[in-house]
Amino acid sequence: MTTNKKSTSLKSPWPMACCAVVCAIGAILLFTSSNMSRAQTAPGEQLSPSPSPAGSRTAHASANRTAPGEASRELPPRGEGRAADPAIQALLERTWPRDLPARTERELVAAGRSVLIADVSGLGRTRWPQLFARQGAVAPAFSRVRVQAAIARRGSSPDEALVHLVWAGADRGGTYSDGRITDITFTRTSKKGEAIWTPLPS
Amino acid sequence: MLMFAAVCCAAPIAGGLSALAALQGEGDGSDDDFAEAGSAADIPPRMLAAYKKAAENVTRHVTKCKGMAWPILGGIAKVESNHATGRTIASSGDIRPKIVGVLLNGSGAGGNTSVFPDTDGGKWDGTATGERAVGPFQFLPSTWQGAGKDNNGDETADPHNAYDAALGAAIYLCGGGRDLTHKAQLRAAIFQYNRSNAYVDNVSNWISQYQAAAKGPDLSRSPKKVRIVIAAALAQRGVPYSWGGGNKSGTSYGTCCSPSGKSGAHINGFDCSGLTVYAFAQAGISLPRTAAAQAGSGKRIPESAGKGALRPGDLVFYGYAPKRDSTIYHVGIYVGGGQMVNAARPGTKVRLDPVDAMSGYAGGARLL
Repeated sequence: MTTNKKSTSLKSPWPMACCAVVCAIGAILLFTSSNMSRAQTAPGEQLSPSPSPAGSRTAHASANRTAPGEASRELPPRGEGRAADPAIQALLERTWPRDLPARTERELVAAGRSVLIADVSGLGRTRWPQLFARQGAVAPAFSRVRVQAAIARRGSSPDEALVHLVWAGADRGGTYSDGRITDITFTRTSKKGEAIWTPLPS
Repeated sequence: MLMFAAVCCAAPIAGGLSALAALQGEGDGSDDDFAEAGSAADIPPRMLAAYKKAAENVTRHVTKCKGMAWPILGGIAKVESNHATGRTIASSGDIRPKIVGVLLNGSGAGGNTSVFPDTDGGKWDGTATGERAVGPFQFLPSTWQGAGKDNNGDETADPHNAYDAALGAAIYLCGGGRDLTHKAQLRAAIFQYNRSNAYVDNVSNWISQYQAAAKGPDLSRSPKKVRIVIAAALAQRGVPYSWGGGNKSGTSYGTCCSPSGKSGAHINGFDCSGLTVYAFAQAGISLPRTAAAQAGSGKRIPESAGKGALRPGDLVFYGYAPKRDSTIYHVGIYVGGGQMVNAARPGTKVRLDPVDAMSGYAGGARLL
């Protein structure tokens, strides 16, 4: 893909109409909040030893519960559905500290979601001509799309930002997967004192 | 397949937000349709035969094409139709019932917002009121007119025939004579097939899985401790995943619960890091208990080094932000040939998977 010279870019502050559309799209893509906690093995809880399962290949198969202190605190694996989305979002925010003004981050995240949706579905591509220039009709490559988590952080240079998205979706063959990762780089220019963020081709 | 170069003009966009709503998750994906690893064993034999025959014959039509191989066609067909799963494939290659996609009339069905005018009078897609993608490779009828060739010997180019459709896809991907052994050209070919970067990533991932599955691991030159660790892990194949389960002694009952409420408390098995703790303990190596913590063990192999840097016996990691170890949520043991042994997720059993089976590759760690 080549970058179109006429770029439709993210301006800060956005025109109200664009903001309303983005907010509407963002509202649809809002996460389901859920309470999650990783319950620990109850202290002192034990099982009486049970026979190894028939055909077990484990040399020293143990019927013991995982002892307190040995309890795994794994992060959400794939396939956990919407219940894991808040945990993934919180994980990203905790491990990748915010380094952009909050408003800038919100706008970049919204733009990043829009770019992703345009890429996977064809919807809204005319908004990003520098990425999807001169293309004809598009049928969606993915359905059942859900953005599980998204953050925006500074990029590798002062005038770059990266939107990191974790998302789920099914391809046309019907295979569904979550934990898909897309990174979209935005570059900043200035026009009449306003910062303009433009997505770069990958 | 969606042909954009030949479909001119901006198309009317209908029902944008309703199409977006149609695009959104209808659910979280049941276990039935969640992505599992790809291998030739998962492909219906007649489809695999069609891919192989197409790969063999494509140079009769695109003489300069290099590098066409069945995993490429398998990757495309996987994401376009899941290898015609659920259909009957005759010995001739005819697929029934025919595979037709959503009606591309901009109604929002399947997230479609663009109008594709009818080009075949219903010959291939059964409707003269619009256009549907057809066959296992989801050709638009308009594209098939240019790319379709006979490859099953009945002198008819039929997009609903596995052999013909596979050859048509191979021809389209070869373009004017691409060298598909070059990653950039392969990506360009896939992008031409469907202009979406996420689509290219998805197809590329499946291609890698099919390529890996075709090779198979070779441990004959691996050090003794590597063979001990891998053998210990492979011996656990078939043992159920248990959230919180597993320790250096073997399987154990796990804990409650994963974020979606899946409990390991009644399952005697391994979670991903419990399996690696056990396997490495057999070689006298003590690992920390979580995948993220295990990334701090041994010599770190960065994600940037690529999967080609992995050696049998390495730990393999996956993260939600792959460059940040604290987001690592999964670990497996590399066995070579592009494959790892792992306890993948709740509801699965310890098994071999291609390292490309999931997103978020976060590098490895070498302890042996």
